[in-house]
Amino acid sequence: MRTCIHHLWSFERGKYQTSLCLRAVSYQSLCCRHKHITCSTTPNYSNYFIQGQHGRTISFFGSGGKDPWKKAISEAERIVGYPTSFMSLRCLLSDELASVALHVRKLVGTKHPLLQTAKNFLSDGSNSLQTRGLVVLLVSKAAGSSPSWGDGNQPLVSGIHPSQRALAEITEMIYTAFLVHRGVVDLNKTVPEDGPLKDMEFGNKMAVLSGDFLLASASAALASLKNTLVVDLISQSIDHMTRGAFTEMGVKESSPFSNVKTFDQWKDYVYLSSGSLIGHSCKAALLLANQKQEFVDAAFEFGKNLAWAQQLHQDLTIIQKEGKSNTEYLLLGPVILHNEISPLTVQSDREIIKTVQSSSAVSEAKNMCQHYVDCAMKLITEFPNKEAKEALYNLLRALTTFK
Amino acid sequence: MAAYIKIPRRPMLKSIGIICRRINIACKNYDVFWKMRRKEAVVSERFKSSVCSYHQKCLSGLPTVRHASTIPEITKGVVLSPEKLSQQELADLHENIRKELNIESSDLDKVSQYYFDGKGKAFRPMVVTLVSKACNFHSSKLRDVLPSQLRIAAIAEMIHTASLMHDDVIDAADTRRSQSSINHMWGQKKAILAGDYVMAKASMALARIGNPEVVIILAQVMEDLVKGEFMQLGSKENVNERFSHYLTKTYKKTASLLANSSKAVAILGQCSEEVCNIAFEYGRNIGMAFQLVDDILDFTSTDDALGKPTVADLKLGLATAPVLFAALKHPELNEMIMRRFKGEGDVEKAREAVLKSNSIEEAEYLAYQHSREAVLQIQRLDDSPERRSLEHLTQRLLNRKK
Repeated sequence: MRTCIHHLWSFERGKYQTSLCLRAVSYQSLCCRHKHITCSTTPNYSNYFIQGQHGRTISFFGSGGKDPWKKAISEAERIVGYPTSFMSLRCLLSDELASVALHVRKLVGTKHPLLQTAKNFLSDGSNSLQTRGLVVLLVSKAAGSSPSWGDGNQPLVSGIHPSQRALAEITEMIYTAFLVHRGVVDLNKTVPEDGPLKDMEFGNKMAVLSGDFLLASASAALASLKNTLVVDLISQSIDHMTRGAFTEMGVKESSPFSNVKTFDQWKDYVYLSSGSLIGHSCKAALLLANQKQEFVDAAFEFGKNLAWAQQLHQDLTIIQKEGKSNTEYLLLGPVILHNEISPLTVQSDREIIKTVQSSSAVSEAKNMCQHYVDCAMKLITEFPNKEAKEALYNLLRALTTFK
Repeated sequence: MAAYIKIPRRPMLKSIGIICRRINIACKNYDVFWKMRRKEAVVSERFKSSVCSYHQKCLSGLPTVRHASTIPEITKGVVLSPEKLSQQELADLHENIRKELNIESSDLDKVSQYYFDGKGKAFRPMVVTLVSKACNFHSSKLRDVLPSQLRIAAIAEMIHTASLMHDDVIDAADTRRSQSSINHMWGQKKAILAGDYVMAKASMALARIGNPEVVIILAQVMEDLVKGEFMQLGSKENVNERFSHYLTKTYKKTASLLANSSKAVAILGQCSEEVCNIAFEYGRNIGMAFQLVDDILDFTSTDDALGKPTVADLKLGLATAPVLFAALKHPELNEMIMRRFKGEGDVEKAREAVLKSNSIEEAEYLAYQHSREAVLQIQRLDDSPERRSLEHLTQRLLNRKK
């Protein structure tokens, strides 16, 4: 296991081959899955695993650093039974993805987004990649065991039905597929610094194929749930995500300054590109359990509000840290809020940040974030399972704390 | 004491091996040889001359065909063209798909509807509609098409088109149906996302039919399409494996969609399991024949007739049936196949080798076998204008020039 972790680290430094890492990850998720079963016999091992004793946090495991979000995640993982990654092992260990991994190492040194997505996938960080499935599982559990399970022969594990676990995996796969596809590059817009055109073309090819593979596997898994309503809901969310990517905000071309968006446009965009998937997945999970309609509707609204809160939290963090250089500042929630109060007059990114930081927009955005969190909390107060509900509350609370 | 003694391989054995392997490829995989022995199959003169003397003796006295493209068993009599028979049902096909994809504003609207301009052949919806009618007639003596079956026809076209959008990016193709491809017009990123959008809309339409079994069948198609694309990335070292690799890839990339959507409409028509299997087998065989002919046309047709550049497969490094057959006679091709025709002049050399050997004819023969199997399958249904039309469709596929 030490070697696995070592590979992961080396990958971040770009020294090791990606294929090794992907293999390592699949191996690790295997270990993680077994951990739940074996942890009573090998407590030291699992402890080592979760804490990451090397002075550097191994965020891939959602480890317990000081960050309240990460802490909430690792507690939540304990509650749903299976910790960490929900990506289907079947998928990661498949020949198809292994061959992609082999090819992707050719891209090291270029600026193809596929590389970054692969890295983020391995080291979760603040990107909240693999949390969607976790939320689906928590909501499933929080809604409690339904008296009218379709089939009595499949047992619940930690209060969650196997079909709901499958759905959580599907959600992760679809989101990852979408991230990968969104990273396809327009070849006529590449610049020499990105790397040779041939490599970029090759990177596109790999991105298309691996995204398609994830989507197709997700479709097949979705079909095997044998619930056409669920298939419809999840397909709708894919539809929404592609639509979101086509909106002016999704295209992310450096928009002319006069064209700052309204907060409603921001809300629409966040709903399309992320809220829809979480919302529909939570809804579908409760449908699979034949839960009552109020719960099903509440789950959908919960997902929507969670997505808004999450995005606003992320945008605020970028503003406060004077974030990454490649961000389109005009698309950040607080900047849009500021512009609605008093239209921006400055042009450069730096100035925008400075203006927004010192304005009331930041506290306004924090209030909005709190508002969404409150809404989400209120929606699930009726849910019977206290433990899972508390875990969801913790996740939400983490979104209202700022450093 | 050496526990292991190496027996030198005799050259003669090796050459017999090559011949037998060849028989294997040509006969065993397609049951041709035994069917020929049982006088169930007709043999082309070329095919006979291509096998070794022992097998030639076995085959002597069997009926032969000069052109592999005539299928003797096709039902004689009045036949209406498949287009005519499906005209009424499919008149609004593209219109309906466009409505399905319609959304307000944004480029997505334009990009996703670009290929549904009504100019495409709509080959898949046609087959699906005719199979629906033939199966319905067989099971209930009614020739009507159910609305759900028509939706499958549209879904099949949507899945096909979505996969084209992605294929064009993967293959860096600039033209499609004699017009600019989506990736050429709007860039790669939009082409991919629009493809996903069309696929999502197809899944939604599929789910709304409300039959979980049908959803599973068509989800299988989506999986096959991707796996087929992955298979295209690699090539096999072993000659025999290479052939089955090619055939599996062809099934997954082309035949699976026709086979499974045909089966889906039979299920929706509440046909018996036997009829569902007939529909599946017809779709599979006609799909294989369709792709084989496509691969042949890539060598024999011209750019203008096809609406896309020829020898495209070789340029992409893909070894299709004609090349694989030619490689049996020209072993120097094997090396080129392994390096995916990346060497200088490889594409030209391979094309020449294909055209001067009889490999085109052998590939045609393979297509013929699949067409014939499709005819035999569909003939197990009761006679109806649609069934006859489906029989003749196989013939037309073999003779098509574009």
